[in-house]
Amino acid sequence: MGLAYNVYLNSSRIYGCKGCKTHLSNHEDIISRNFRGQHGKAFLFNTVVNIKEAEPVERNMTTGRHVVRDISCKQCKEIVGWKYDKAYEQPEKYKEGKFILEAELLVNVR
Amino acid sequence: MVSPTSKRTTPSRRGHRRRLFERLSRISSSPQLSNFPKPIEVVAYPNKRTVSCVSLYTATGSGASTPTIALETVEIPYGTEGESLRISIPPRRKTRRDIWSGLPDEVKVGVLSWLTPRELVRCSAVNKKWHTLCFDGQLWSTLDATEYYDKIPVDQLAKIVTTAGPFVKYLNLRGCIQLTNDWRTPAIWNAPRNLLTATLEGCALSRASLQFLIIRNPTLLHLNLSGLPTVTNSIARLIAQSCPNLESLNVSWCANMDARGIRKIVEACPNLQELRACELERFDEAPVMIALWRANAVQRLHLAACPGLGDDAIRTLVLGPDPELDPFTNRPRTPPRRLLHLNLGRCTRLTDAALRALADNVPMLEGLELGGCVALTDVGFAALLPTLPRLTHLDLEECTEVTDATLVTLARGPAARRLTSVGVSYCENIGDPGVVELVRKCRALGNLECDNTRVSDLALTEAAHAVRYRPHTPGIPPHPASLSPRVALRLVIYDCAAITWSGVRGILARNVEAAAHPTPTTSTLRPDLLQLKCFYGWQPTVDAHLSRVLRGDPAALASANRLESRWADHMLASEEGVSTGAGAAARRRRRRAAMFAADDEDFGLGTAGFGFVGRRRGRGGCVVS
Repeated sequence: MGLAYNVYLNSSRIYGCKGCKTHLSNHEDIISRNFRGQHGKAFLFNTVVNIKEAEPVERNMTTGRHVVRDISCKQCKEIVGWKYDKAYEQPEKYKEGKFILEAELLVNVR
Repeated sequence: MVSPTSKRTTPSRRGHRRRLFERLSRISSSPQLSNFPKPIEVVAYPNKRTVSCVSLYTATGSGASTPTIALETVEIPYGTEGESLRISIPPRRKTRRDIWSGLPDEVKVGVLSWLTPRELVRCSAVNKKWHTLCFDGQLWSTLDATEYYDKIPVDQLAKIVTTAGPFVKYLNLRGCIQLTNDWRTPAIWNAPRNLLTATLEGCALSRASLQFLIIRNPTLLHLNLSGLPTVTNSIARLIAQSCPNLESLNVSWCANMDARGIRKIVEACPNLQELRACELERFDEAPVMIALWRANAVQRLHLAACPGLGDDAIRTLVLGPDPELDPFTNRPRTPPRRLLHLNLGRCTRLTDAALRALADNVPMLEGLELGGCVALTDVGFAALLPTLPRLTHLDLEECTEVTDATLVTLARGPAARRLTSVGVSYCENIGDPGVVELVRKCRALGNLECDNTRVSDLALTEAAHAVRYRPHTPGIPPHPASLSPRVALRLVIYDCAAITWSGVRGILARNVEAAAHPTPTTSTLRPDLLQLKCFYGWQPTVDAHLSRVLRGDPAALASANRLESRWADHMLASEEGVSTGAGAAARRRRRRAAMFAADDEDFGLGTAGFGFVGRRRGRGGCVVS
């Protein structure tokens, strides 16, 4: 119900969806850039806006078993990355609740 | 001296005097004053001894005044000999209902101008008169919807814009998608006539509406139409024809427009200083670059991610179509460009030839962003950087071919004293030598981003040392009044495999030391600290430590010290594992080896995965719509 407004971020460097340029996250929210996704480099972000989450699935990644859910842009419905719901291994616990956005599907908005 | 017919018996005299002065100060251009039957009379009472008397008595007297209004005469002390001024004013009423309606409209609007837009809209629902008042154009000369774009319904927004119409000077309707398909929308876009600034990013307006808006506002100075699919080259021609005073234009990501439109605007608007045209096509054609070269007015140029942008285009931008050759040096010569900021990020076709073309021709350049231009190498920068004496910002993210030689050139170049921000993230060939040289030579460096590079703990200690003993810039006297510490350099070093927790610990210790003993010899009395953005696991500890050190008082420093030692113990304990028996050293060695080989999908720096303080950035703390 109601119009789906976009959230706009205020920062000097903002990452946005490649297709529709909706704001997704800040440069300051990056936790790590040493990740790899299906399309190459991926970044781990603290908070992401303007996304829709899909259903959680359990996946086996190179670092172990995780429960993740795909996230997609609210506007153009393209998948931009995933979110870690649960990590089964202890050293990976810091990722829970954080988002991965693939660098190929991002642009620098501002 | 109060007559018995007065309405009040004698409360304190002070109350009387206060109320009297309030009433006097409310006398303004009120319509009630026209009912004054008696003029103000000045009476001198030479025999008055009591100077402090302010007496109220009704001056009904002799029926000369109209019977409906009984005036009261008051006396105010005036002069030095006990004279008093007698002024007749209408009596104070018990109810205050009529004060607002007695005010002239301009005063009412002035009162309402103190309200926020949201409160104004709410007040407009009081009655019809308030409705017209609240939507008066003077109150809405700045219409900035960034705080309430998602809360204001379309009818109120339409009402505001249509009634404010010619008064609106600054219009920001970013994200107002409620305007898309409403029947009121054409009226909205027809209303403003005198806009100076218009930001319409994210409002999907129709082509006709956009045309109306542009034609009707010849005074436009700043225009932001980024991301709109209705912006085409014909719209650009319209802008060129209608808005000659344009100073700043943002048409980034307008997919249906290309460089030909930009050319028309550049040729028609001589004052254009800022141009943002990211991701527009056809910038490889010569005419637009020739137009930019000829105008030489643009100071901030953002052409990030333009797919066609190549070396020839940059060369034409800087040198012109047919540069004359200097007879002595046989190099092309042209008047220097006025560029202050140049953003060519993600233009993957750029090579060193573009850098060589830029060299010597942009002497006033202060900001240069070349992040994502992977083909650039040290050779080009060696040619370019020595010719930029005023450089303050440099961004070379993901330029993987760049090595330490570029940082050394930068540090030894003419801009070393002015550099404030350098970004070399993801440049895998950058290591300690370059970074050390940079922090040693660049005194004003405030922000250094070298994540995903090869910097190690040595660079950290060098940076701390350099910051602590920074020579003072002459001409700016140090102010001894505030000795509180401040962050002088922000280092971003997450994902660097060679940074270990002991290096970070060293920085924390140095911060405490710098805050505790500021070095007066360098004549900068404020202790300068380092702020780190490091591996996520340690970040809470580092942040907590920094906030304690920033307080500066000895108790805070002591608690910071305790925090640091506790964290060090924790890291040591977790490194050595549960048992410190045989094989612990071998286990440590193996873990270190695995750490350096970490890639693919995750980042694991030892088993110490989380900060000691325990304030985890909680799960589920996401901002989802």
